[in-house]
Amino acid sequence: MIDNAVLIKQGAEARIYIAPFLTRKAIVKERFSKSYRHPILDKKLTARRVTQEARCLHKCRRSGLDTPVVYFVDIENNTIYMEYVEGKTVRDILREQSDDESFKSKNDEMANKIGMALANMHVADVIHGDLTTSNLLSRDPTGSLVVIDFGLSYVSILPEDKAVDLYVLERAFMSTHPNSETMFASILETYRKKYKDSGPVINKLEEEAENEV
Amino acid sequence: MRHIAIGLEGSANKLGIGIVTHDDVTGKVEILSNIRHTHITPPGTGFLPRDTAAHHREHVLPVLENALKEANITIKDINVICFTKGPGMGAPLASVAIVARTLSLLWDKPLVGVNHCIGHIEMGREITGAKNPVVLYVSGGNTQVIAYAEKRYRIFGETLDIAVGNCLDRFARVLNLSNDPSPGYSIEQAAKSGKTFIELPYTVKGMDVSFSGILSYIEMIAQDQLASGECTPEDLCFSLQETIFAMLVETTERAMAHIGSNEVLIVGGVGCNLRLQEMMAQMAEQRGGKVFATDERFCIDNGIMIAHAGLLAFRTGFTTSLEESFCTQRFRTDEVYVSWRD
Amino acid sequence: MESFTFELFPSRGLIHISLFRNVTNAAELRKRLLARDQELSYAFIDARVVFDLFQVLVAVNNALYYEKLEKLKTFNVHSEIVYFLSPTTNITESLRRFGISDVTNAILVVKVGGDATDVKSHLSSLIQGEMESNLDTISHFADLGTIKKYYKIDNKMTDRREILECLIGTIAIKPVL
Repeated sequence: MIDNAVLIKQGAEARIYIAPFLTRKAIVKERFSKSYRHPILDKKLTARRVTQEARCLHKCRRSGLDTPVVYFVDIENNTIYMEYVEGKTVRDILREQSDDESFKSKNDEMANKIGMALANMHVADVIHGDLTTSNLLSRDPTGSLVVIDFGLSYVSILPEDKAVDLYVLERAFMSTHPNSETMFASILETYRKKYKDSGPVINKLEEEAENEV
Repeated sequence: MRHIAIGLEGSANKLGIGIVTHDDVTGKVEILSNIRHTHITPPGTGFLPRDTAAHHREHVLPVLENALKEANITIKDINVICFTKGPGMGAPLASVAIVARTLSLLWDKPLVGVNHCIGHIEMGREITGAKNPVVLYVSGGNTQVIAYAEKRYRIFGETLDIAVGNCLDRFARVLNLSNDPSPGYSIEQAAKSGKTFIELPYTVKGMDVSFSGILSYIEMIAQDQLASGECTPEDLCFSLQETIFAMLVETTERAMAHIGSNEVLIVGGVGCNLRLQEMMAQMAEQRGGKVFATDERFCIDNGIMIAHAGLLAFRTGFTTSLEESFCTQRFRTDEVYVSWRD
Repeated sequence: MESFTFELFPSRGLIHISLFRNVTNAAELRKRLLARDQELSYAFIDARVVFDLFQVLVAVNNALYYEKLEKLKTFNVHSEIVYFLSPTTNITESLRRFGISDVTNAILVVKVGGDATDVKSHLSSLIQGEMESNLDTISHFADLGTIKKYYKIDNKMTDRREILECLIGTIAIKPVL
């Protein structure tokens, strides 16, 4: 690890540091092995996820989605060096709000950006795999919507997989931000508009919702 | 004041009746009886709804008698009759619910319909003392990662297809392992002598998991490689457990990280599996947390948990009218309003 | 000329980068490179394909990493730098596109290790051209059309920052594609 690296987060799967890197400030994401996993499974899984994460981050960026830029992939140490994005998580932004009406237009704008980002990502056939409001950032100072943590992402053309992505986010919204149904509905509306092949995805999502009842 | 509830459970192949008391003043919960009778089928076969319902009908009266006798109470001591409303298999559920309804009319006692999963969660919390854990609910019919927030047990992750217990049960059938006491137990024992790890698909999507692809894959391997001696049934059981339990532990940990909790409670029949408990403990230890699990008396479906969860609801004023006392095969954990928690 | 230490490879010493304009002996340099002249242990990069210094730093970092792992794809760490600037894994094409040609008149030179003064004087004797005092002018020589073509960047992308981030990512993930 870089000498002046500062540990900022000890996550479930990785340690996240901020460190100076090649004249810039970088996020260093080091995946560690899990003692509960069989060593063979652990090694394969960790390596596969590092590679997949780097690829998906880049694939998204090329298709116009704002994601952290990859600077370096250290495969031997399961570490990715990437752009440090200054900004706030959508989760924190929503938490700071009270229920009052003044947040409505702000949230509409945010929902629009989120819907657009998801559409861009799915057009590129990237499935994020862990969409939560903590993995969406509002970039300072531009307010650009940045999608982060592609640790569970993969490439797929299947509408089912894209629907699961949306479904996972919907549940994250419902379980951590009560009364966020309207916001999620407008996210879907933008998604539908911006992603011309979204029909089958939305159908799958609705099927999923019906199965719940 | 002392409240007494009797609970009847029969959503799958276990028929269980239990009697529990809650003491208002001391807050103490006491189990007076916990009787169970299991419908066990021959190796290579699973349990069918019709036969399981017949089993429950055949044994429900003796089990009830035993439960009352062991609890050493009279009918007039009982405050409420609790039964499993769902989720589960339709015919077995109905076969037990009809008994609950009959008792309610016969003894003139109120009814409380209980969500099976809530029963597991509340029993697990009571037995282990876990305060606000992330709950992994794993059984033959369910696989959910759950956490409590604002009067609901919210589902953070779940299976996108079959339940983990179903995956294990069906593979036990492929290998012709014994269903006594349970196919999952047979797999657990076989796995202990597995030596070679065989790589299987690993399917985690966020906090959700999927098992059907793994099952088809390992069934294929079993067909191709067992006869030729390339691997042993033990290797397959071992690899299957290592893979699917790793998936469960991973999603549980992700939920813990998401809500910032360090406690995890494992409930449901698959929760008895010591390897799963061990892996979960290793995960919890790595993050400075703690794992709570119960033994087979409470992990495996039982009447006590239904009585206990039903009584919690009953004490907040909840009852189920006769008209509303139908069973439902689909009954989501998060549909229940948890009036008894802050 | 500017010199850098790379955070992950401190033992490799300083990495020196210098920029020459109005170079007249590119053909000679190229000939010596092809003959594997040991005196030329430098990475000679066609400045037209360099958009930003950071782009070069990312490529150098990759080269140092694979040198350390002893998994170089080309002859040495210097040719590896040129190789890593290129998005493709075709070595010949990478070196042809990002290395110098006979008509190159602006060259970016990277030297791994060595004393700054020595490197500077050696380069001055080697290259017939004017050494820029620092690297701030690096983007003046960039040919955006060629860069976009080589890195397969959508013509609609016009924001400089966005283009830069796109090429950086492309270089960074080349080994894991």
